[in-house]
Amino acid sequence: MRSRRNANRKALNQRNRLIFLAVIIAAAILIIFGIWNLLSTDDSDPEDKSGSVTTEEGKNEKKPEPEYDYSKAVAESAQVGDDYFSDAIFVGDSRTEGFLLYSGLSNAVGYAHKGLRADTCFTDAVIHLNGSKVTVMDALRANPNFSKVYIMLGTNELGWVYPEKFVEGYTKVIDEIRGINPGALIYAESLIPVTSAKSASNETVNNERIRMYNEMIRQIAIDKKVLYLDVGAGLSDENGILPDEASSDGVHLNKAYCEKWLAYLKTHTVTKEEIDGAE
Amino acid sequence: MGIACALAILFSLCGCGEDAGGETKTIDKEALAAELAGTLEFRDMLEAVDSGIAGLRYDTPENVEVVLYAGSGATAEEVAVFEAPDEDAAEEVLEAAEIYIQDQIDAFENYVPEEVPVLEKAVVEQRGKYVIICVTDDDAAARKEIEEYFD
Repeated sequence: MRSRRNANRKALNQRNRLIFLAVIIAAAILIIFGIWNLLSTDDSDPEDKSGSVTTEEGKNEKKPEPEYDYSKAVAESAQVGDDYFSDAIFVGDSRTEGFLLYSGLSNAVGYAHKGLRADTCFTDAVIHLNGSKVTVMDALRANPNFSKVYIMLGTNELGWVYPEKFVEGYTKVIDEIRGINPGALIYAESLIPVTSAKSASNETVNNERIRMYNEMIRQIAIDKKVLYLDVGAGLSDENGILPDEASSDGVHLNKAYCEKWLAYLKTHTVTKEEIDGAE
Repeated sequence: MGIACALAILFSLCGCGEDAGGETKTIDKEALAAELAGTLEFRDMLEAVDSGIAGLRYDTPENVEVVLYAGSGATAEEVAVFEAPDEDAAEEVLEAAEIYIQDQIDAFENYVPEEVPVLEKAVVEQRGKYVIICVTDDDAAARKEIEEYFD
């Protein structure tokens, strides 16, 4: 009887020891897991709202925000009103002259002239200002309080043998505008295509050359961190061609298409916060 | 008798273009501009430009109203009818209009040179307090229509 009791007691003690051991092991696992979790540097942790990471030195630093992607054309955005353009300047050639005449925008300032090129923005006194004629750059310097500039240049350079000279000139335009007003948004508008008849009949003013120049403008936008605005895509058909109904000579837009141009601008804007927040 | 006849002729000449009260004849400038833009031959399609924007195109005083029909920019063709407060102010508008046409000649010379001859024969006329610009291949027809409108 006693030996059985002793045997039972022994078995019980052994069982208790096993239980105790299991508890110890479980606790150890939990502790190890907890420590590992604490030391984990998983960046995708959705609970981590601090935006900080722990560096190798153990310091908390702000996570780097993604930069604004200048390689992409300005995306469609909420429509703005005419007042958005009250502090905008439009720089361009005869197509921009047409835009200023027909788009319906009565508050915009335009420094545009038929035949204008990137290089002649610095040399040709063709802009009427306060009773005299000045260059585009002089006009900008005289009125530096703009908050955005829309540039459409390149159509008059399509025939150049050395297109890289156009890149040089366009880049210089951007640099100069930045020098005049560093905080202004700069929209580099793509060249609008021409009609198929015009494209087929002209060695230089054709859609193949326009596509090439638009690629250059897009690259300039990336390099100089300005906003590439694909107006051309907004006004062309599914084949990237300007519809016949848009123009009497295949190049210059009629009133309806100037209004369409404005409608595109109104739905493709970027705020400084979107850029500053990304950089 | 001869003096009386001469005086009668003189007074009738002074009345030319003026109404019985001796004031500058008033016309409907919108109607004149629309008629010129609608009946004359143009190579480009002329469309009405908002009056607020049209006023920015010419270096004219703020109290001058203008009705403008312009093309897309493919040609130099346009029709503009200005109304000044009085004849003296219209003389200033005439000067501004002539300077504008010269600017257009300079601009088109290196851009679309074929438009220069059309600009050089542009109709730029003052009729009382009105000034009319009409750039068209058919300047003779434009002058005739303007003449008939003010008769």
